[in-house]
Amino acid sequence: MIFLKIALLNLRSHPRRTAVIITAIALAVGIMETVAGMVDGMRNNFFTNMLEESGHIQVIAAGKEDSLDPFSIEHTLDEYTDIIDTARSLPGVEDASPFLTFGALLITEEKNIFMAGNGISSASGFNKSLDESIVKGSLNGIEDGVLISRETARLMKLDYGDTVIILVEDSEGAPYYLSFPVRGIYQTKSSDFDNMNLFMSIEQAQELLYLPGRASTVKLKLTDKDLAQTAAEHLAQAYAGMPVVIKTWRQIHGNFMLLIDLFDLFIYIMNLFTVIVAAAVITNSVLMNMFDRAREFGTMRAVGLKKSGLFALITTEGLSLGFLGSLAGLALGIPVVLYFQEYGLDFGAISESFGMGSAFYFHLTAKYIILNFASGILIALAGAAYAAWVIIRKSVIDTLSWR
Amino acid sequence: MKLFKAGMKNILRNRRRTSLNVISLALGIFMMVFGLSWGQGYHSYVYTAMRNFEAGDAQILNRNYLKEERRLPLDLAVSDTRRVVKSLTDTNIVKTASPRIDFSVKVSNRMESTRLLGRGVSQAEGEVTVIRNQITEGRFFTDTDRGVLLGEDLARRMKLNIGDTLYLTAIDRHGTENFMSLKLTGIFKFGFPPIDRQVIFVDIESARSLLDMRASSTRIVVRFTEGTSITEGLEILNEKLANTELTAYSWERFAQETVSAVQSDMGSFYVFILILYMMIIIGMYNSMSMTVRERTGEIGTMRAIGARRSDIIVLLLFESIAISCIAIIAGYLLAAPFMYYLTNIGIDISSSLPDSVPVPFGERFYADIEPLQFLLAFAIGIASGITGTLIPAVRASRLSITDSLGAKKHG
Amino acid sequence: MALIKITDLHKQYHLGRTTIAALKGISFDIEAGDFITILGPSGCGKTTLLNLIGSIDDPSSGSILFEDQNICGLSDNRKSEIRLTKIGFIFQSFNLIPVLNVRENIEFPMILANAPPRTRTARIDELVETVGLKDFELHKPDELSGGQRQRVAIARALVNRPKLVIADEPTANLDSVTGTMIIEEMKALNEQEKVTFVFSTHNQDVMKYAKRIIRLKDGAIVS
Ligand SMILES: Nc1ncnc2c1ncn2[C@@H]1O[C@H](COP(=O)(O)OP(=O)(O)OP(=O)(O)O)[C@@H](O)[C@H]1O
Ligand SMILES: [Mg+2]
Repeated sequence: MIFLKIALLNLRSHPRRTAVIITAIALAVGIMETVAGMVDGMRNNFFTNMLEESGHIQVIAAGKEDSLDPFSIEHTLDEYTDIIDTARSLPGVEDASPFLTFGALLITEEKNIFMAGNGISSASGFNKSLDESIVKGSLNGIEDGVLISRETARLMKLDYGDTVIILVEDSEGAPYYLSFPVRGIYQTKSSDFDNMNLFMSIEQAQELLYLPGRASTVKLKLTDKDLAQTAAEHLAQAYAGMPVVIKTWRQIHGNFMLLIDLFDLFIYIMNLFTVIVAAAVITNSVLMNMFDRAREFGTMRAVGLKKSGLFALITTEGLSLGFLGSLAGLALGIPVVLYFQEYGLDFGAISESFGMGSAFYFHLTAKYIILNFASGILIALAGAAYAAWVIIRKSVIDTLSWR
Repeated sequence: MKLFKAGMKNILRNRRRTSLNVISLALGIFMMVFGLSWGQGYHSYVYTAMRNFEAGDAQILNRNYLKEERRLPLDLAVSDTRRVVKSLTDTNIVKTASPRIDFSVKVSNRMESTRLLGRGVSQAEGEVTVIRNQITEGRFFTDTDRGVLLGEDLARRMKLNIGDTLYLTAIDRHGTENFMSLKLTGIFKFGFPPIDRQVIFVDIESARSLLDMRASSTRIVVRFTEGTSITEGLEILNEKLANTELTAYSWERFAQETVSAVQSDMGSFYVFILILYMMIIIGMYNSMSMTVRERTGEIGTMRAIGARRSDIIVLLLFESIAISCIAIIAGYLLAAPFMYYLTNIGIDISSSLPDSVPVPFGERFYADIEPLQFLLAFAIGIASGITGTLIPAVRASRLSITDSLGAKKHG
Repeated sequence: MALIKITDLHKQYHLGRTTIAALKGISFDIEAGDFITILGPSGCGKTTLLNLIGSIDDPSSGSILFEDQNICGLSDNRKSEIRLTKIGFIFQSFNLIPVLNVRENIEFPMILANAPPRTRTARIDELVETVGLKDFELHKPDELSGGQRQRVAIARALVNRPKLVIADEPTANLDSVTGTMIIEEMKALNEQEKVTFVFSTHNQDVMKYAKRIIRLKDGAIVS
């Protein structure tokens, strides 16, 4: 207690020096917190947004992924309802929904545009984010019409209620078209996504493509992403010998996982630099501070303070500095993270290609707050411990008559 | 020089403090040199690649084209392309002008089909981009050639060899679907997936008849003559095009994704470096303050025997410059092996990036070392040393002589 | 039986290749209740000797028996323990802890000795009274005069009721009037509380207070 008191009193009686050390710690913790928010934003985006869209497991018609055309409907799942029923009976499966994707030419009187058509089930648990992004009409519009993005609507001079023709190549390879009313307009954060996708009910898509009772993919959403492996194994067993391919999110996003790892490494290196520079600055400052008071420490030793006591006294001061500096650092970093969590950091189009929308959203996590707070304290503590070690190795006499 | 020597002596007197300062500043210098050369490599490579692969120096399009670019509007075209090209090349600022037609096309080998970005080009394309050098098999078009060029992976995937026939289906300017068969005359590889996997080059005459474009094109890609800057060239072109339906745009407009990616990457790097240097300056400030406190008596003595205020400041500044110099050398030495590796061996980035990344990294990535980066790091290193020292030095020079001589009696 | 028995004490300092013999075979006893003055010219080894007795330094050879226990060569922790409980220090330049006030400075060694708060309060009240700093007990060291600071140091030295108080030139940083007052106070404490004092000085006036004078010259006792 007396150590803490002395430590705090000392911090107060040298405000400039205290401010310098606290600023250094705060900057380091601030950087680390911001960087952590960025990394976690990326991770969070991946695990919520991307997995939200892709699901944790996909059951895909065999051969589909090998086709030259990503929109090929040559390979589709027969009896997908059976797959859905089986999937739903597995533990940890929250939702299993069919998707029928196809290439479509959207035609109005004078314009045409090639898009990705998505036949979705209205009961699907995957519709949440689409539902939230609708700005006109409603998700129910997929039942008897199509949903297009605001950007597509602008480009094609369409509005809610207008009619469009959708031309496809049906399952027999023949051109076929139907006209649909625009029953919903949506806008997500990703303009790439918006530019490309239109939505209708899977039943309408089946009719348009002449693929009754078929889907191209069944996506599964699990209560926990770590259950994917076992669930996928179950499914593989149940559908052994059938023309289906079962993929977990790890397989679906292999490239991105690698990228995230790479990014992580980069961040760790950056943090390492920050920590080393901060540690050098802080150690230096703490050392100066302690050497300055060597005579005081010598006196305490002379009146009976043990080496361990002196060590504790000095590290307590480091601890207090670390505590205050880390607090200041979080006060610096958290608002930055919160700001970018709310408004996003415009990393330009590059973030879109990483599936993150046109801006890149940070994410604040308790885990990183605690970790960075602890790191700040540790840096200061390490600096103080080094100073303490230097001082307690000297004899009492040398400490008393320092310099 | 004497002052510098005195500075050196003092920094040797307190080795621990010096080495901690050196460590932090050396890391800062390392980050700086490394980051700058990396950034420079990235910057120049990527920008050059974007221009050489696709964008040229400038492009001339119908005024309304870009607003509807997503649907590749054939109706918003550059009509009478030949006349426009001629009037462009007649000026002394345009070296070459290559007309293009971009269109959505379904490509089939009779077994399978897929949708690609068709790009109708003439022989002149070889003058505005490096496509001629990227041909790995067959050859690039001459003006009389009819045929298509396909990316290496795509050709292999479709089991196509030079001379094989491809079947193209596209919707023409009037909204009618047309069909055409053409021979594969060349195979290319840019090392940039958005081109290698998504684009099929078609000779412009075939493209025109497939799309019923007569003499028009959707854009004209321009290379300026040497010595013409992009802004200057654009200004002249737009003046010339003032009363037409056409506008000239800088290449950056067509590499926006890349440009913004590079800019935001560099931006975050600068912010990071800035904060790092702030910490370094704080460290320097702190240790110089200590030095001043410790040597108050010494400084008082010097003043008493006739040193001017400015001498004291210069003495302390020399001390911090000496520390900075050591740190800078240490930083350079630290950076050297990394730089050697990055410039001579390079790293393979493209294999770990998803195909959709719109940045042409090529096969390997190399850093770009320029003396300027070292100079800049040197200047900033010295500057941050001086910045951190200035306040303590001025404070030291302002100490009253009598006070500082009696400084030891306290406690 | 002597409180402290010093036998053939030697101390050498090594400065590069030269060796300085600061003490050359010192032997004497300190009895409980003594009031010893160590006198001698500058550089004769007074500080060195007091540091050895106070166990903040180790001799090159010889022994110091403190209540029959040789304190030379004990572990650092044992020596700290002895300094805490059996020895009090008064320094030439006071050496108070600047951030603590008078009471807290006096209290510090008691906290190290784990004395319960109630005992501490009582003891500090008593000592503040004894050294006459009642009105200044909440002042910080830099708000006190030199003589007042040295009185705080005396109180701090006495707080754990040590057997021995060591003072190295306690009056050197004080004017002569104040210095004499400090010595008189030490003398009074010696007589009333039976505290043993060993102190060094240059000041010849101080001699008249001493029960015993040890004269040093070039590291040896001359009388
Ligand atoms: N740490 C040291 N290193 C080397 N020599 C020392 C050291 N401390 C003291 N000496 C030498 O030992 C001798 C005795 O010193 P000491 O400090 O004990 O003398 P003193 O009697 O206390 O002198 P003063 O009256 O000036 O305080 C002197 O010659 C001194 O130079
Ligand atoms: Mg002395």
